[in-house]
Amino acid sequence: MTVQSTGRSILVALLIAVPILGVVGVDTVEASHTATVDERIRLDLGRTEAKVSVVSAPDKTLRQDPLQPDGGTSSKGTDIATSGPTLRDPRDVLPAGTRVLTTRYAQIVARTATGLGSFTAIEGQPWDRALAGSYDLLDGRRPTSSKEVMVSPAGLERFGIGVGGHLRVTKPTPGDFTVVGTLKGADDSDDTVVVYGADGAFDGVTAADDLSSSSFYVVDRSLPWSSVRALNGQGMTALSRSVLLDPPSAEVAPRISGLVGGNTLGVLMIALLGAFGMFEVCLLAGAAFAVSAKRRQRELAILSSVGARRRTIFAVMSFEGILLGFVGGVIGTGLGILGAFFAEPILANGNASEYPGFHVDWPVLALIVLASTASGWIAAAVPARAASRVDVVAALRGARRPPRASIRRPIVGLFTAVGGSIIALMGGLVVIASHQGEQTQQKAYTGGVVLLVAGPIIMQIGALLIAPQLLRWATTVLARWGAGARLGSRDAARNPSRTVPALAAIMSCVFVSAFAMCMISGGQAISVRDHEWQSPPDTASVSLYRYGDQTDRSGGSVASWSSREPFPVPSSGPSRARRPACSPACPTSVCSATPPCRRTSCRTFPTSRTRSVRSISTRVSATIT
Amino acid sequence: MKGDDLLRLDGVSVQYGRGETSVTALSGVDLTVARGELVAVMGASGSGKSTLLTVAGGLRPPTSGEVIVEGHWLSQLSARQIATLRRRSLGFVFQDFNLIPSLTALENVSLPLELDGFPQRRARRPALDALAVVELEGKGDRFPADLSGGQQQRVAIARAVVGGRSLILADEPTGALDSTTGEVVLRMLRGRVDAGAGGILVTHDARHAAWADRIVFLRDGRIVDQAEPAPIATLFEERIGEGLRGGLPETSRGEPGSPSGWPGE
Repeated sequence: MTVQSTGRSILVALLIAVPILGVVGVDTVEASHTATVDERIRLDLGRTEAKVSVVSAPDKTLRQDPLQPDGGTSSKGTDIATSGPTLRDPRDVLPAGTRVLTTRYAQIVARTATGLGSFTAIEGQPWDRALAGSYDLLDGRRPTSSKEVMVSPAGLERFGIGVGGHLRVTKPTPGDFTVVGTLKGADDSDDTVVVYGADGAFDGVTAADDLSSSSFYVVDRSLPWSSVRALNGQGMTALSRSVLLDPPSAEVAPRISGLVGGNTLGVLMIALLGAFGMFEVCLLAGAAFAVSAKRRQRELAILSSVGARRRTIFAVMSFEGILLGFVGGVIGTGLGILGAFFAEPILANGNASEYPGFHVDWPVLALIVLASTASGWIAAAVPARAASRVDVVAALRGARRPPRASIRRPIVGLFTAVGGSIIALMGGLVVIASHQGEQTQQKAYTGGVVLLVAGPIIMQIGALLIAPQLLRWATTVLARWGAGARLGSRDAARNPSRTVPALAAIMSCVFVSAFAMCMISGGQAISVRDHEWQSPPDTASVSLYRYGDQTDRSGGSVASWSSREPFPVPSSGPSRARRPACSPACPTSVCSATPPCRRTSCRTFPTSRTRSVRSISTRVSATIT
Repeated sequence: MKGDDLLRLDGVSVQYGRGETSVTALSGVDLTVARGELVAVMGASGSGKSTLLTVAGGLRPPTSGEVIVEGHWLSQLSARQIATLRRRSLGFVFQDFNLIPSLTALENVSLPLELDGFPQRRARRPALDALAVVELEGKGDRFPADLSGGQQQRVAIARAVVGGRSLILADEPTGALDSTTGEVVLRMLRGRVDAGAGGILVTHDARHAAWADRIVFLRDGRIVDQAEPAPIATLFEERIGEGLRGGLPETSRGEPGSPSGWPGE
């Protein structure tokens, strides 16, 4: 029967498939963002055994999360130094002969193809083969001296050089370096510029001098949980291969990072939104099933005439819903996986940590297909129930009388709609109340969100119960508008089994649209209300920073800066701004330093572009030398 | 060939609607159909013929009176038990065949058995037998759309008798067929009744009623006469009058000035 109505079946399946596609896409992207243990080891450790970080002076009470050392530590110690000479070097703590590699972040200023720029540098031995996976050699060779460096692929373009070219660093210590190859860190996106040099190559500061900013990779010695705990006592944390592969039980090593709770709430939110989406799908698909049931009334009546029970008639219609729900779910799941497969690498932009691998969350997807099947069944259930109660004789003759108007149904609908409104209102109030106080009350917040989702669903069910009565009332008004309106409205009012599902489908679309628009406009209103103006109307401010100086600087030569780097505002809009000297009208607050208001740090833009300038919140940081 | 009663209607009345719009479709109808007996029901449109059939088949409960099928009082049966009775004892044949288009002829015929819990394979044999009775061997795998009108009606008859169902309720089974095909269908229906079933044949056509053992005339929901087929021409003359001989072989049905049915139609 489903096969015979191919067009309608495809429509229903697609109605179910589209939201499933979205949910599966999001789930697959989310799953692909979460590294497996093996991937995490590869990305964070390469081929090394552990990465040790120095977080404080020796502290016997320091405990780390076994799996998230960066995200979770606890200490009962007070006045424990987190920097300075009391910190211990892991190389002094680890057994003698242990091979240790270091990396340390630094900041440099180097000449680019168009001027100067400030860039991240990593000093140490990131190119070591033991770190392959975490840092991958793409081209050229590894440096053999402190005057040789590697850069990320985007760096070559930015510096306007190739492998074998020379890189001129102006800060912190001027010097020329030979670029011998390209290296890409797992955390870096395709457009990230990083320069890799030997330990202390750029600023003379070695890992031993700056323990708290350095990472120490243990190459050839496994660090079990007991060794990690020993390192904790020395004020260090460690991400260990052996611990990741065989984590200690929660009793032995309680999790500190607290990520689980956050995920649970997120999953609940997604589940609630998914349930809401499926309800809307049920309304949409329900309309199609109602039409189907009406078209098949005669067929169902034949079944009844040869002895089929109501249950059988219900099962016939239900099975169609289950089948189309399942097919829609499978199609949506397939397309969602496919979409995520192609979209994910683009979204990740080359960042291997963001996109460690393509992962399909099969158990969740199975649940989603199950939910989709259930949606198909629920969408078909009401029409199926109506079909099972059809007047067999009338259906066989094709002469059905319009159903009698129910007095009770609109009243029940009215109460249901009002009840739904109250529930939604309560949900809103609970959510607002949960934000009162210093911390958000998670349970209250979750409960509020549940009410906020349940309320509109109940409201819509109420609206559907009232709908036939509303159509009848509309008829009395529209009957005066001529024969066309009279015929159309009366037909709609006398055939609620056909018109109410259509009304439900339209209502669900309008509801979702109105909901989305209210969310967007509400968010925009909040954004406008809470916006902190960086400058008065009709102006934009530009802040300039000097290397090594975090405070805004009034001096420097904007003239030279502007000649080297184009002003970073879209050319179609504010880029056409005048660049006059600071006008007398320029208020003090606009200037990045006071007093006096210097022309170098104040920019004014024409009034006609004010809105564009505001919307992009123009705040430009540039480095001046 | 006549035996015990397969169907008995005792004082059956059916009323549609309420108040001023109420219509009496049947009023105190008493009727019996014995095994091996085919009863033709004739009457004008709105006389209650089809209502009688649906009440007899348990598709609609009477407003008053009793319907007894094979000794079962329908008023004492639940909807589920009546459905079971329809599957096992009753078979409907409709004017426009009412076959399920998505099922083959064989599947249509075996449907009552499958609904009664027979596995598909077990239902196949009696369904094939029923198709053989209506001379449709080898056409079981065809869909209704691939069969002629007469063949479809024969499939409907096979479905009505499959599995030893004994009471056939035919509502103008030849209405959508040409006269030759109609004769074939009626011959098959007669054959099934002669083989031990019983049936009611609702028809407008006196020629078709001639296949029955007894003819019942309905008017305004009441049985106004019962007769053997033989004096049918006489009855027409008496009750309907000249010029209103719808159904008689020599009448010109459908011609202007000669309505096809009964007075008031």
